[in-house]
Amino acid sequence: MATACVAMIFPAAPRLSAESHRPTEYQVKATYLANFARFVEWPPGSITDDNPIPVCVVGQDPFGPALDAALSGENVGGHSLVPRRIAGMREVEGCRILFIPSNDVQLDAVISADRMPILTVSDAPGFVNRGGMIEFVLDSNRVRFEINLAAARAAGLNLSSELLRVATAVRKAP
Amino acid sequence: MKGGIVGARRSFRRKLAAISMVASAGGLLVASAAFIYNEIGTFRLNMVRSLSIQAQIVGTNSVSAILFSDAEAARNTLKALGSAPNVTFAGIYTASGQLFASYSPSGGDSPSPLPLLAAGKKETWRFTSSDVWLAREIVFQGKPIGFVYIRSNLLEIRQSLERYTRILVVVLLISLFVVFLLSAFFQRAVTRPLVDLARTALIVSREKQFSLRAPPATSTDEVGVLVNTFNEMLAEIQQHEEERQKFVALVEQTDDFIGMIGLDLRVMYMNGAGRRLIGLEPAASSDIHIDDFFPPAWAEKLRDEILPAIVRREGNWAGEAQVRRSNKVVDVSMNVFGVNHPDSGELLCFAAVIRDISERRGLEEQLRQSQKLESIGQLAGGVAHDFNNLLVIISGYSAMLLDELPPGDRMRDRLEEIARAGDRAAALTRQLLVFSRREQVEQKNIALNDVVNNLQKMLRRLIGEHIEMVISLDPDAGIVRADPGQIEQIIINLAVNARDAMPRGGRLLIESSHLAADEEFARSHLSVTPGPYVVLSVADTGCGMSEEVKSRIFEPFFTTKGEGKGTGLGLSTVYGIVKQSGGSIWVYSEPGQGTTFKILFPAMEGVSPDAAIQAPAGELVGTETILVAEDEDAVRQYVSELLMRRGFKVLKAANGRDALAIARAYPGRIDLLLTDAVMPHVSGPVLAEEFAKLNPGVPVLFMSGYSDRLLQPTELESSLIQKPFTPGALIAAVRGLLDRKTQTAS
Repeated sequence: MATACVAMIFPAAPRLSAESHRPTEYQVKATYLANFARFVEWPPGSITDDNPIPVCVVGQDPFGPALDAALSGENVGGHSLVPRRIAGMREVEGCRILFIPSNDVQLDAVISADRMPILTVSDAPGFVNRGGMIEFVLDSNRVRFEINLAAARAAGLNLSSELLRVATAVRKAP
Repeated sequence: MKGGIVGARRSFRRKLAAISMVASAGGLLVASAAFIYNEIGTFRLNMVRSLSIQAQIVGTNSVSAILFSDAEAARNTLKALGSAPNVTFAGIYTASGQLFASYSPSGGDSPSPLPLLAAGKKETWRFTSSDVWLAREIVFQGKPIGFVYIRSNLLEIRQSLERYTRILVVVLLISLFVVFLLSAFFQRAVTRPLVDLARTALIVSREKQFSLRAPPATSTDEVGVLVNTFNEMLAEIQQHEEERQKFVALVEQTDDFIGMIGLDLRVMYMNGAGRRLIGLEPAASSDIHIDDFFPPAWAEKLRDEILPAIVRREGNWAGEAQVRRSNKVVDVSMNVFGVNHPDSGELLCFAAVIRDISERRGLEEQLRQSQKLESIGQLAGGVAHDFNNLLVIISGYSAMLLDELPPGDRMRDRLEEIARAGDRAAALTRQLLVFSRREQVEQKNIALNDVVNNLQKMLRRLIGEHIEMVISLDPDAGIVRADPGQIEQIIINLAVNARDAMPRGGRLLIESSHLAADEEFARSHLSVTPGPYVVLSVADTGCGMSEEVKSRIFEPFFTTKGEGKGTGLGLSTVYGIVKQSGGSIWVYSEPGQGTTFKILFPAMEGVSPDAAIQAPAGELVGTETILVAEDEDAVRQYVSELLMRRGFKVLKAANGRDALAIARAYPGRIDLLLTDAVMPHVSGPVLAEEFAKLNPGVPVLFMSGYSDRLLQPTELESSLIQKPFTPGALIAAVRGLLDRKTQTAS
């Protein structure tokens, strides 16, 4: 009743939320990629001042414009997020988040690209078990993810407990 | 009686207690209401703060869940609110306003429409009638990502409110009780002086005890002023009352009549002496008019002269007047004046001060009489003494001449006349000397009753049978010290005077009595001192006498009897004897009302008569039966007694008819008829004749106070004895007739 009189204004209407239709799987995954940046702490020196944080997609890009939309305007600790599409692991230098599509042949190479301060994300099944850090899984049509904490730590990344809390599974041993 | 005071106190105390309790309760209520209001405000604030903190926690903990659409995690976060029992609904909404996760322990609904945050505000909240909600923005790293909505019911506030109310009620009751105790304790200080004051006022007004005081107040407040002023007022009233009572006592205790008479001539006030003066019963109504106690002449004078003169301001009236006491007129001195209003001078009423001067008048009169008789006595005594000496010479030389004259000398008769005149003159001077008390007397202790008894026979002879003589002697009359012969003379003189005052018959009463004279009696009777007296009273039913005669009766040679009938010395002699015996004589007489002489002899206490004066004892002279017919009771009794003492048998008849009836009925022999010559109905001679028919030859003896020629001579054996007779003469006559009869018979 009293609320009826209140002007229904929400100050910062985010673009994602403003969409009326249900977002596609890769739209969600693109958003999640951007959100991951908020819960990850890279080793000191790996992100320099005033430089954007590159979010890379290797191989064939499944996102299309969704990734650019998700990253646009996002700001994590004073750093903007920029999408970067790379062809192979040779170009991985500088990436801080790397998405590897499930059909990518370079998956194993990615996993072997150990010790680099890059958060590796993939929707390839068994990714986490094979040394990946975050693996998207579909749970009754909802996009969830599993985490290999040991792999992240091995790469010097610190994942927030908040992120761990919403993960469907967390693998702590290597 | 006490109900009024207790009631008043109760009421006053109750009011005071009620006031303090209402005031306390009011104050407490206001304070409590303010407190509760403040508490509720604080409570609401705390509630909002608590909700805010909860929203912050939920918001912070839901960031990842929102960002990664993990509703499950968000719900888990919301479940933590289960520890806040009053939360009815909690929801996490995405930035676009979609419900992301909700918590609802009791199935509360999501708010609709969704409360949104005002621009620029991170948090908003609102109380409704039944609950409170709070919406808080969730910001993560500077970016709003959604908001938390928590709704809580107001049960806690309501419970607090109830708790506060309960506490308030308890506190209120305890406070009121404490206030009641305190006020009961402290109100004494206030109410006690007032209650005491009220009680005192009540007693004072009810019992007129102006000497009472309310307990003095120690405080200087209004109550203290009231009490002290009241006491001062009482003191003033008491002073006035004492003053008034002094005046009342003055007026009431005086022996003078003091009265106030209204302008309507009704008595407004009359003091005790006034009531006594006019013979008004103390309890009698005081609604009386001046006509009720003034003789008509004086009432008229007051109404027409004295009082109008006062009304006209012509002056007051003072002088001698008269008032009425029952039917008697009392001489008074009277002062009548107007009572004026002290300020306006208006005439309010009349006042009269009246003094009974009748006693004084009487005493003055007594004194005058006594002085007059005293001077006359001195004069008479002096004259008599010298005259007696001259008589000695006259009588002496007459006797000497008679001795020297030869028998048969023609001068002898003339000389004897001179000697007889000298003797008569000597007798007169002797009486004068008695009056002037120059005669030597031999005083003895004698019983007055004995003297009267011994004189009875002679007195009866003296007064004649047309006068009834009643002698009433008080056995306790007492002993007097006097010359018996002189006392006899007093009685004889008074009896003779009484007889002369009753030429057409009447009653003579001779009385003796005892009198203990008190102060009151002595005050109104000159020369009487308080003490015991033997009173001889001689009263007749004769013509009485005027005031003028009364004032002169004791003067020598004053007589109202015809020329040559009295010496004028009888009462003078009585007076002289009474005075000589230390007694006093009082005469009460009014024309047509008879006369009473009262003689007071000082009673001799504790002595017996010096010589018993007794009637001579007679010898038995006969045993015959005598019928006595006499209509005068006293004479019949006297005669019968006389005869019976001498042995005769007596039949008594009060008149001729009775006598004949007795004569017929008496079975025995009647030896003699003794009858009064003059009797009503059947006279003596007629009785004698009839009697002779019944008893032939029985002698008859007539008694008569008249000369014998009144009696018809009869052939009867009869004789006549002249009244008065001595006992001896009667017995002799009776015996003579009986003996003659006996001789004739033999």
